[in-house]
Amino acid sequence: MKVADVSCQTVGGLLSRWYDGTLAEVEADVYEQHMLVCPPCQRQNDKLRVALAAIPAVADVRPGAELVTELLRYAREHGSAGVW
Amino acid sequence: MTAYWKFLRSGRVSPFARYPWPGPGHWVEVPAAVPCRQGIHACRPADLPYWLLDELWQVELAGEVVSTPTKVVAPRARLLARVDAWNADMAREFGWECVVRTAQHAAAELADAGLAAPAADLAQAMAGPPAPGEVTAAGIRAIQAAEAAGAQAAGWLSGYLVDAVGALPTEPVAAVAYIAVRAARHRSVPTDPEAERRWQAGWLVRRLDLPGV
Amino acid sequence: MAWIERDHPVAEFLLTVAAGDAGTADAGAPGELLARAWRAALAEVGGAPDPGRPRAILLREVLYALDDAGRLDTGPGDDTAVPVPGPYLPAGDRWEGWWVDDDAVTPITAALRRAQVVAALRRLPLGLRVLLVLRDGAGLLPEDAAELVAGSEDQQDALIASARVGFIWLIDEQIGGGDRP
Repeated sequence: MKVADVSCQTVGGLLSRWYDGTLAEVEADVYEQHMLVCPPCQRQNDKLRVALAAIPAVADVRPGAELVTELLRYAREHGSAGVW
Repeated sequence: MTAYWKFLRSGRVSPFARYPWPGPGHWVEVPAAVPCRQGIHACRPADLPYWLLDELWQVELAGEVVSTPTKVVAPRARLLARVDAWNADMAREFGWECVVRTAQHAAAELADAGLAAPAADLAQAMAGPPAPGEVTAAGIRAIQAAEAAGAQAAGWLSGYLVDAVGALPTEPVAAVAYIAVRAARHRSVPTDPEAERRWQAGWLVRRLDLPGV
Repeated sequence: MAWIERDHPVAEFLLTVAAGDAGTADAGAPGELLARAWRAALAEVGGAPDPGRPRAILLREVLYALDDAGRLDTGPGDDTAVPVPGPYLPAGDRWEGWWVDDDAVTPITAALRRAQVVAALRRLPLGLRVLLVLRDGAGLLPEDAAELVAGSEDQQDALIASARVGFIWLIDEQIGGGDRP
């Protein structure tokens, strides 16, 4: 059997490891061939990629000047200025 | 040089990584050909029906080419030329051929279940030029006949026929091809599970007149 | 300066999603908890000849600071609160295990806003929420993340899968697609 006949439910269980690139070769083929025949699963796949990419994208609060000043002073006082 | 092929999304975009391929002649390279992790995927002729998409390209591979059951993987590749014959019209034609195959599987299953009249009804609906409405109606009648007779497999295969016709205008052609495969695999008599894919690959190679095959 | 510039955004974000409302740092303001985490991380990284993984150390200190202050938000409770995909067609159907409705999965059509992402994350239990930020927000490797959350590295596959799938379904509620049956 080249590629198993798998359901959306089964393929959904592979989604996270497919994203990480850790599926075994046969599992990856099953997953990707299912994507080509199943638009809802393809949307779920696309959705995961977009949603997970949003996490680092919205983590965008820069350090305030007050904090930077305080930490620079702290580093000097505690001999860890080299880590910057 | 062995001929290989690659399906891409419209605009030369790879199916999953959404990588925009450069135009013909430009080499693309990845560090090592480890299947499914790093490497460029391509098809042998027999692999084509597993990876159907919008555009089909002939590709040249370089470096170690690793074979897997339904694809090959290489560290370097370049597009050579687009197979213009694989276009929306050809995809529709292929999709209809998959409907025809599904109908044949359904009719055979109906006949095996002793439901000769619905089987003949299906064959009649498939006899002329493509008539999706008539095929769907015949498929629904076959489902009802199979349910009345308690013939589950015949009902399912007739259902796949209705599904395939319904998928033609709305779903990717890969979905229609898959439904035909599913129908073949759900016959109540033992069948070669890869026979339908082999038939599909043969149709594509012949109809697209792929060079080097 | 490079370290603070690089890692402050994700540390601030972890603090925001892991803390209850009372402990949330105002966007743009450092917050005492965050400053405390930075000082602790600085002391550890600065004092060691091989600082190891500064980002992981900082994020661990963020969680410690929240815990010490009693401000970790445990969220909706156990993992049974995590949504799962579906519904799927039942056994006996010729399409068993396939989506009941082809429109079951709604696409994300516009860039997600911070408030939407934070709100969806906060609907996850704390452990999954933190794991998701560590892995997919901070880009920590599984072995580094395993040191900061409950469960072994081996168990992490299942946990991160649950967190990711739960997250994309919770996002639906934030973008208006959450009225599915």
